[in-house]
Amino acid sequence: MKSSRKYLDPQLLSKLSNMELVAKCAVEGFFSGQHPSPFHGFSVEYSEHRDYQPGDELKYLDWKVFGRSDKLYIKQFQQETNATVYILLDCSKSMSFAGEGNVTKMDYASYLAAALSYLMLGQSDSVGLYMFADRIVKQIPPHSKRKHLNAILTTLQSSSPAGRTNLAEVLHSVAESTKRRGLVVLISDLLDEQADIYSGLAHLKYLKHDVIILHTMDHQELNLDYEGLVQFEDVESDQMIRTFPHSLKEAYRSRVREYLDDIEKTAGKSGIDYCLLDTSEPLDKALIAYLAKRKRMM
Amino acid sequence: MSFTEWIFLFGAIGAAGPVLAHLLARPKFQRVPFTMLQFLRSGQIESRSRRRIKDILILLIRCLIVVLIAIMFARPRMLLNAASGNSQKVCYIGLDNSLSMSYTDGTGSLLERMKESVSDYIGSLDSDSVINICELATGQWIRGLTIDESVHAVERINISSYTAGFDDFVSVVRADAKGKYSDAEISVAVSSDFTSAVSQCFDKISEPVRVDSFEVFPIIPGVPAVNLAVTDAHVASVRNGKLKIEATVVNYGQAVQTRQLYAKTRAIKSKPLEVSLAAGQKQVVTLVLESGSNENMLIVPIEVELVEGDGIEGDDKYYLAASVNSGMGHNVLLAGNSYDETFLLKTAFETLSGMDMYENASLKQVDYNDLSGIDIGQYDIIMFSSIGKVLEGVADDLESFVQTGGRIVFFLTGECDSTAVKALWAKDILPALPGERLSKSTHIQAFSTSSAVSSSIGSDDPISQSLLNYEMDRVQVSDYYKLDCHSQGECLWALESGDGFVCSKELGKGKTVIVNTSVDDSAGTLMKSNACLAFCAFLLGNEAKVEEYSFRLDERVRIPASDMELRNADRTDFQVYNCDGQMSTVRVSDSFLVLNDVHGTGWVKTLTSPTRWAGVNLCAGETDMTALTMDQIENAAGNAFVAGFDEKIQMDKSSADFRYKPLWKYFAWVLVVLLLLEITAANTMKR
Repeated sequence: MKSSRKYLDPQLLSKLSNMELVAKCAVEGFFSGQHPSPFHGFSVEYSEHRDYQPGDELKYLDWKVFGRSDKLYIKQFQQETNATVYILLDCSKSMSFAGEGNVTKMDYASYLAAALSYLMLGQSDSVGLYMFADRIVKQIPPHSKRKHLNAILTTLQSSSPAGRTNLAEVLHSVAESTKRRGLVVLISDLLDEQADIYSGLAHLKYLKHDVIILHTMDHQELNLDYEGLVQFEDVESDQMIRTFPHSLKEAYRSRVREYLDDIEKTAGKSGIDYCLLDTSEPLDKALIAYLAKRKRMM
Repeated sequence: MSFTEWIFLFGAIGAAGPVLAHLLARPKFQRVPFTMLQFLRSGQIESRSRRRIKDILILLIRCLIVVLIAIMFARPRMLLNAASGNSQKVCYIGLDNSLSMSYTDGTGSLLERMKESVSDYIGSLDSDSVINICELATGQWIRGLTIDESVHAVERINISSYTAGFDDFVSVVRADAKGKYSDAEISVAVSSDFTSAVSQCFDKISEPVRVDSFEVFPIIPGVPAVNLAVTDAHVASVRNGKLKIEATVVNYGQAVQTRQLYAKTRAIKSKPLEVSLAAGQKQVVTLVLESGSNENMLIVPIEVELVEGDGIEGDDKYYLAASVNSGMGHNVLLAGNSYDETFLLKTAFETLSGMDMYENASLKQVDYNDLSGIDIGQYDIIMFSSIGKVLEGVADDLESFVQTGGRIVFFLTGECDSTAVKALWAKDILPALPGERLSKSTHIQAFSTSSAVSSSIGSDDPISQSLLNYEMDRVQVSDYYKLDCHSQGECLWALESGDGFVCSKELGKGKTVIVNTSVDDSAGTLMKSNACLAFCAFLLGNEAKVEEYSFRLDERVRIPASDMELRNADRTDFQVYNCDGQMSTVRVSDSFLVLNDVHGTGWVKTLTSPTRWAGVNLCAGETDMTALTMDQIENAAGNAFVAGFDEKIQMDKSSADFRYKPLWKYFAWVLVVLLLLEITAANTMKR
């Protein structure tokens, strides 16, 4: 395996070969593909009829309807197109966290980004990668060529976690820079102010992007399974707290549960797909389960 | 700020302990990088720098605690600036309401003048002053008054018979100045007539109290004081139904005074005698009360009174209660080297016992060899035919015998033992010390010239008369001692050579007599003569036994309990009338009804029949109106209070009366707060 292909696991790829990730809503593309297009025309799938307007091409007139009703109607078809996929990967310092025996969240997210890129490029979709912390630190514009995967993998491998998270700023920035509607896949631990996150996501949804949140969390972050006197030191700041975590475990879990529930509910209300991924679980299992679920919902 | 026990400040070195502990005993913990600190307790999240600050803070708190403990042990205090203007103003006013303040002259009574003077003073005080008034004679305090209340309180003050006392007043001011009002501005004012009694009270105060201001208001008669007082009286003798009362009259005024003095009981009154005294002069006046019978008398109340008033009426009367028990007991022990030696005395006594007044007398002869086995306490009179060596061994017993009312007669012979004489002289038993033995002849002085003897027996007494009729100067004395009379002894009868023949001395309640000749020599001559009975009676004595119940106000009054009261000695509900006529409950102690407070001067009497009395009189010198000069007053008052805050104070800060404010309480509160802070901080930081 080439060193740039660290995050491209063949086993995972083999399992993804039968899966497809399709946009729920219409996406704008140049080429025909698997995703619904907002444009009508060249496709074979009927969409609707509309009144004839001067200047319409006569070949789209439904002559059968004209014969029966003596009225001119234009027959429209749903265009199917390829999608532009924007993978937003959080590479802030908090993504470097790894519980005992686990991979870091960054590695886990990189595997995920690589797998998704592979999958989408296989569907002739354009895939772009945005790596961010408090701002976008690396950006690979969307492209649909297969060799584009190499660029993505190289970028993933050369990146290391640094900086604080400023998700809202990043989401606003992405929303303003994207020219076409597409599929936005946010891979992050979402450790930022919730209100700011929701604001950024709302901006993306306003621009009619299909948004998927892949929330990567470490098992320790979810469960706080530490023993004895522990001094927790924040990886993004110099904050610290010295405590016996065992005594705080229940309250902590409760607070985290509330937090995750809130994100899931808010995302659900906005039509955003939300998937919590525990880095202690195998990536393929989690990803395949999510893609299968998404396919069922389409 | 200064420290009483500054040595404890070295304890502050202990602050090094927490520093070392902080450096050495850092807690062990696991460092874990983490991302979701906000989901742990939010209040516990802190920065590393803040953590470091907290660590230093808790270390400082612990060091401070150690330092504070050291400071508290060193007892910090602060010398207050007496000139501080914002402090509370507290005024203590001591008002003399003793009897001398009742002195009245043309300008009114001293008490009224004192009230006016003090009311003016109170009016000049700041309106927010807290005023405390003390009645110096009764010791009563009225505290926490406003100006109006104080003026009314002063108006209500009355005269008390008690002497003004300053101990309580000074001690209360001292305690308040150091405690309750340590921050306040304290002013003290004392108003009194500043008699010698008051001056003596000031002299007793060992350490003056330092206050912010001190004023005295001497209330002194405008014209020379006129006051005569009966200061003492007692029954001198009781004979043939006559009570001789010796009363002491003192001119406590500043001018010559002539007054009449008499004594009276409830039934009889003596003939008034005129007394004329210069200023400060004292005179003992003898008054005779004809009781009309020679029988024993129970306690009778006798009042000795000066006629007509002067400046103070309260000291013109003296209350004396007396009980008379005529004639001593005549249970006689004759001790000598042999029975023959005391034969003449025995014969004379047996003759005497045939007379009415000696009909209950009894006599026992004893040899010196058997003396140690005799209980001398059962006898009233002991006669020793000589001072033999055996008396040395019983000197202590003889002393207690005389002290308790016994009478001893010593005869002197050639065998006078010097060691026994020394032992008896050392115990103050002998009325005269036998010196050189003189082997020459002389005669006894004629009895008629011996006023001492006539006064001892009574010149109108039949026995005395027979002795007077005998030609005493015919009795020759050929072998006698040169007697050196005791300083408290008295030569009752002398020889023509000038040496003493009979000397006597009182000791305790009893009396001792020494006869400067042997029983069978010159005294024997007397014994064999017609004067035998008279001389024997003279030696035995014929004094009536008088018990007096006269007390001063500062003494505890004791009235002999009746048989009924003695039977129920454990009861405490026996009632007596006090001097003010009110009844009070008393208890029986050691065969006496004991009263602690009799409410002034006058009579205390029992409710039982026959009534028993006790007289209660003023304390000595209470109404002495001899005026002190202003310098003397200021010097006397300076013993109690010192005003101001001068350099002398600064130089001698160790004096107990400087107003140091103790600061340990404030340090204690800071310590408590720091301890709570430390506990909270340590708990929060898990250190």
